[in-house]
Amino acid sequence: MLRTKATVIWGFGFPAFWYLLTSVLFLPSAESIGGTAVLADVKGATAVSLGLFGVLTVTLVAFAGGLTRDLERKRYRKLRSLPIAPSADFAGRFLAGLVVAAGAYCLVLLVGVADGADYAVRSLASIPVVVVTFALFSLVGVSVAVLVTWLVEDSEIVVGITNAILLLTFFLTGYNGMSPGMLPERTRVVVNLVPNSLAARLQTWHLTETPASAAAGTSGGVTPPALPITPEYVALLAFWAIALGGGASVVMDRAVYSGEGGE
Amino acid sequence: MAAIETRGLGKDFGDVGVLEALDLEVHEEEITLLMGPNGSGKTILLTCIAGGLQPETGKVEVFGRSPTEAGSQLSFMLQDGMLVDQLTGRENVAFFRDLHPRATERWREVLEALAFDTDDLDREVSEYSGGMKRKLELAITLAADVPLYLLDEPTAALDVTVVDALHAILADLNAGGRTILLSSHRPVDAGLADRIAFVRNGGIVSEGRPETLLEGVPRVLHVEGVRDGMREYVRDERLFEAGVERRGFLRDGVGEETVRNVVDDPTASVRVTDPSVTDLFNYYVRIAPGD
Repeated sequence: MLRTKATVIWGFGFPAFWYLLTSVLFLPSAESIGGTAVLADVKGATAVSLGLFGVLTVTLVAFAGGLTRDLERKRYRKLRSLPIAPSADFAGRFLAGLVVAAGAYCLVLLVGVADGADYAVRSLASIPVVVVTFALFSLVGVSVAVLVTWLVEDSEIVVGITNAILLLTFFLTGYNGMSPGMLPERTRVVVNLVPNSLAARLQTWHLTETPASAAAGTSGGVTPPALPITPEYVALLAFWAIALGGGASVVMDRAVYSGEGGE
Repeated sequence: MAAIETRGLGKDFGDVGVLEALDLEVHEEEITLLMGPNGSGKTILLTCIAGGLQPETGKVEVFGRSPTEAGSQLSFMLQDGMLVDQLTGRENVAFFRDLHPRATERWREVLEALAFDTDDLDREVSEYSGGMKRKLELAITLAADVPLYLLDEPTAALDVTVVDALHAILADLNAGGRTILLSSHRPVDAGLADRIAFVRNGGIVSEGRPETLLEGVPRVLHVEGVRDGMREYVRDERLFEAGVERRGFLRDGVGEETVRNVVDDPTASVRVTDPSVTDLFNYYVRIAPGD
């Protein structure tokens, strides 16, 4: 993945650049939102949001592009001849995507540090929650990538569709759930339900000191609705990952392997 | 026991039929060569045997089992369909080594024997020539210690010296009890084979030992400087361009004297020879046997 220039540019460079652009042009001044500490939290939340945008770029767009290329170049004629299970193929691709996505995520968080963002692990329990929710969100990304690849197969269209999914989910959830005020009040709760904003808001709670239910405007506009801080929300993200991951695993088996995907 | 047996094998891609009712038996510990023109279905046949494609009709057995069940018993080289261009040669080796349970470090000696400069292992495969890619594909495939190798056009893009080196490697493996099924449209590969199967129009049209097949090829008419009047003496009325001359296969009952007497131009050249390996290829893949 890292040898593909598009992955490096769009998965690593673009989210970091976008973070800096947002910080310079769109974030309010420290004085207007209650001080430097509050601004540091807002920057931290912004970095989490755009970091997860980079994660989805890698796990969805780059992953789908790689899989489609393998199918189009008939590489699966060789891969199907090897004594490996389709689930192992999917798991291997997922783990590779996970490592690259972790790099993309950490880069934006580090750029945030350099810009004055503040992170604070809320408790010891936050560490496994952050790791697990990151992995679950990555699994959602690669699973959607497999499903889109199966439905479309043409590499140019796959890139277009996955990019559209990436941007639509980001904007329609108020920048990955960081600005729910962009949504009509009656639908704002969606930011705690759909995977991208749910993951971003879970991570924001566990990685920054953003209040869970502060009044709108005092914490960078992350609430309302309240941040998803209870275990049920981790379970909801797990549900998304297991459902989509299960579907993707079946597709790898029935479409790519038994169904001769790419032919 | 047959290493490979296909019965009534059929494969199509929608409206395009590639293989039709194909029967083939590959004997254990033999080198079998699939010969046929481009697009005759050799690659698809090899891929079906390897388990990379599922036939629509018929069956494929590898050591008495399905290709999927026999996956760890075989190693398949797919021309231009294996390597990841964005990875270096060394990374490609590592990638495939991790995917085959019987992979060994033999790739090093194969690359050395094929005159591959190992410094190039650290370059991306996208920078490789066709010949370098073929050598790497071969090294990866032959590094697996398995009883059956399936090689798709292994000598394509290789120069003559390297082809000789590859033949020596394959002969060594075969002497060690390995079965090898390879495809080619280069007559030079015929010398390596214990048996040759000719693929045409999605089926096997002739199969046997090279010397037996050669005995079945009619004598060859070579003509130079003669434009007309010779086609009626050769099979299928076909003369093949071969450099400055044209060649055809004499019909039954037509002798050298007959064709010499037809030519009245003293500058023209007409001769008849025994068939070569090139003629063997032309005969079985372009002239219907028995015609």
